[in-house]
Amino acid sequence: MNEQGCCGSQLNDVKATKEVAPAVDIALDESTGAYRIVVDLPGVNEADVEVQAHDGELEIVAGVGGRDNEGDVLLCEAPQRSYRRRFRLAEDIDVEKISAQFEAGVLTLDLPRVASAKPRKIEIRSAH
Amino acid sequence: MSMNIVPWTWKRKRVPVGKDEQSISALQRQMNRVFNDLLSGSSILPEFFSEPLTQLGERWTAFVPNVNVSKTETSLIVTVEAPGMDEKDIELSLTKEGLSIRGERKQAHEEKGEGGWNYVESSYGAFERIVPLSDLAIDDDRVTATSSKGMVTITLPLKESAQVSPKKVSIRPT
Repeated sequence: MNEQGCCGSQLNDVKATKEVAPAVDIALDESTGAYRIVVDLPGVNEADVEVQAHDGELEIVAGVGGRDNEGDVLLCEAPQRSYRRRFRLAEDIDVEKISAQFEAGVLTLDLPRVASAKPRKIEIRSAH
Repeated sequence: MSMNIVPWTWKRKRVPVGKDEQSISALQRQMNRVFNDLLSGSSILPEFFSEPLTQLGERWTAFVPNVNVSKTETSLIVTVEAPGMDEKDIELSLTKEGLSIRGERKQAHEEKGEGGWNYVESSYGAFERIVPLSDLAIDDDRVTATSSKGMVTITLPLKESAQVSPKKVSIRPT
């Protein structure tokens, strides 16, 4: 009764796992210029989430480990999937300071700007 | 007694839920998905009706969680894909129509007023889904829900009387 490519243990076969682009929300903090990216990765273990920044790109890859679906599958709207998404980073994103947290299938990334890129108030000194 | 399992026809016909769950929006989503698959370069042509309508095209609609249902000898297991939510965010009830799953997916930090989101693909909002139980005898008191990794798993134990193993029919030569 299992549908091909759906939920069942046969999905441990890598080829049967579909790769999709996860949904993301992006917010820009206008005062600091930092970005926050929120990525939906339901069903993913934290250990299976990989975030890499290289060559001016940010790549998010997440695999879904074998799901144990006992019994007969009667409905499968959330098949086993793996996720991949890539973003081009602005040049002044501080790659070293990108931070990530993962909770309840949601990955939150904070991407600050390099310090010098923040708007800086310039003091005007008196000429006297 | 052999138990009559009613075919789950809603495998194809989506369970009517959400605010805009009408056939036209399902079609719209399917169309969106075609375009999005092409645009995103994944270019996997949709296999109409054989696949869940869960991809990019659904992102601009109200949140309708994807549901998996499986049945073992002892229970019915319903898994709800609810990123950012746990079992406490979901309200379950057994009604005449079946198992009702209600809840609301809220956008993180929206209550903090930290400024808006510049780009939103995920969907949010209140939802209700009904999983028809047909004639399955559910042991109401023992229904449990747990969550992990943004997936809420609801276990509905079957009443013991319903746990009948298929009776083997011996065929005698005439």
